[in-house]
Amino acid sequence: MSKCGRTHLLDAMTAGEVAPALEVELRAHASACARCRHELNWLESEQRLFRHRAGRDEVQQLWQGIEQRTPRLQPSAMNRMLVALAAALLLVLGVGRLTVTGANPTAGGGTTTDAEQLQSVEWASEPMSFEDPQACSKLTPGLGFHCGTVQTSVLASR
Amino acid sequence: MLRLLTRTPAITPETPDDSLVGRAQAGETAAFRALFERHVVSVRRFLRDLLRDSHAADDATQEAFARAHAQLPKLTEKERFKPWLLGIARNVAFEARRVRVHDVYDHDSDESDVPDAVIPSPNPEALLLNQELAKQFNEALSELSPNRRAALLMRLDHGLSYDDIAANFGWSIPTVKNEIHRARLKLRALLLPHLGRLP
Repeated sequence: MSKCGRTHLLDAMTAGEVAPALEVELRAHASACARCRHELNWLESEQRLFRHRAGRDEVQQLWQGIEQRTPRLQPSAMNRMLVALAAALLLVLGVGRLTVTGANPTAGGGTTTDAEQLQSVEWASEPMSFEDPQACSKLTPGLGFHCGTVQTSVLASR
Repeated sequence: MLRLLTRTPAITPETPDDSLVGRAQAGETAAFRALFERHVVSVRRFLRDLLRDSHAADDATQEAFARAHAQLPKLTEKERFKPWLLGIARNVAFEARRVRVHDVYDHDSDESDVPDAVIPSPNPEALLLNQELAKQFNEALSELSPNRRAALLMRLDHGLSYDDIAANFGWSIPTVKNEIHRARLKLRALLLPHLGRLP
């Protein structure tokens, strides 16, 4: 195979470093030039081999090791305390809201009367059919359910 | 605390490296974490190829990123983060190897070079990309001397330009091209028996 002055451009071409127009030109040239075709076959084979082995390795756990080696990357004690405080506050607010509004999805929040709470329980209990003696006998005792009528533990405690 | 309350632009896969580097330099941990997420697979593979040991590669990857974080304020060409990071990784790998085997990596002589003869063409379409070929490929890579292997990997596996590789090694561009050319010839000679040839 005789030398060709364009072979050295093929490396840049396969690395995506040449303009699209030049790539078209080089590929057309390589189809007619034995030297360039040979080089392009090798370059494309190497490229396929490198791509094939570039699968995603398990690397996420490495971040912890980097944090340990880099104190400035570790969350500060102040930040940790603020995050914990915010989480606790959200938890308290969330639980309080759930306790007040109960299970009625139509409730708009705020305090509710006993009658409203009873209505909400009736709404919640509609899909359940505990009046069936067989189904009722399968209920675990002590959960606040009574056969014939359905009461939640919230009402039973009143 | 003020930083927590200040609104910062969201980090997305499209956020360029130089922007992340700038934000990491300003102390934004999430930006450095994003750079880690983006480059850790590449860095670990590079180190595994240099060290040929998965556990050592894990350790070296952590060390490379820890050093990168420490040296980040010195990085002025923010868009060159990846070549710069691979340069740090290469130094870490070479230090690790020196400690382990007292090998100073001065074996890049020409004695093991294959002659610049015409090697038959493979058929890229007929490549059977399977475990066996992957194993042969890894073994062929490990036959290359460490500097040549590092230069070849930077170019072919990690897409660095000749300029970036030259800057990393402190070599001239013709030297980089020559080293990579020689590495390629040797790799091709070793791989040829395992590749499908053109008729």
